Amino acid sequence: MKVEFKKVHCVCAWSWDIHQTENDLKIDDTHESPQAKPSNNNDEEEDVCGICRVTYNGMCPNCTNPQVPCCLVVGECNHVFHVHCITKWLKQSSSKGLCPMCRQFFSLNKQLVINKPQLAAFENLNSKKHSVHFLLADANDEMLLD
Amino acid sequence: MSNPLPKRIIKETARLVSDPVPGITAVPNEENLRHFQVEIQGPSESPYAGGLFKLELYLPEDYPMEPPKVRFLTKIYHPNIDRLGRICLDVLKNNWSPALQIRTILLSIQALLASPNPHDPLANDVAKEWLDNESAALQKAKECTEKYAK
Repeated sequence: MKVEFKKVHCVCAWSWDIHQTENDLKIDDTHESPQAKPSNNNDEEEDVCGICRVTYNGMCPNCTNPQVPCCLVVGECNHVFHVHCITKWLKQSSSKGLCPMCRQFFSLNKQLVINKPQLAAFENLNSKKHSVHFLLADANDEMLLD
Repeated sequence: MSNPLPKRIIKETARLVSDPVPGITAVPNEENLRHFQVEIQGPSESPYAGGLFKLELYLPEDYPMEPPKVRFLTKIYHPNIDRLGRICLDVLKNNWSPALQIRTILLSIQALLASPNPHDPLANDVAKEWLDNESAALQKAKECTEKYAK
């Protein structure tokens, strides 16, 4: 029997693979990690965003445009969120800048490649928060002087 | 309210039904799936033991960025719950976090029934009684449970 290929369609799929240990995602991550994925296949709670509870791979409810990828970010505290979800939370004054999971001050882990494109935006978020803080402090001082 | 129900609310509702918290039931209103009828059993070894307390819970448009709104419908004698059923609980106000859920909030309310905190009162007269004469306050809470929560 002779088989002739007339057309080939290439299809690819990808998914986030978030490792929980810091060494797995260092910037100089050139080597392939020798051991395969850590076993978190069936544990659904493990790989959903702590805010919207949609899987890491899924589109979060705060996505406005399917063209814009729904990226993940990892905090210093190692908690993982969709960038849209955590940004929306941190922009609210009621968040007090805290991680929803552990209530520590939320900042991105600068060592991780995955956070790199978001670093500037988060710096901006934090500095805005601080300037508001200073303005309030100034206002309080003035009131005290009056 | 034309927005579709977020996936998170659907998931939470499904889990509340399939894997309910012991002593707590929460059923969504068919006409508005953000509005829940809640029943909490009074914790044993508290003056609310044996009582069944009805509450209503509403998930605002911005949930989970904003906390759910919860109110007691059953009258209760408790220093942190006022006449209108409003609840003084930090996680429902300034300590809310989007990592909390309907079930964790209801567990916190159940825990509040088990350990009232008269030092951070909402119902000032009840809290005063609680601090001045605890056994009388516990008796009143028991009577109130008998009268309204059975």
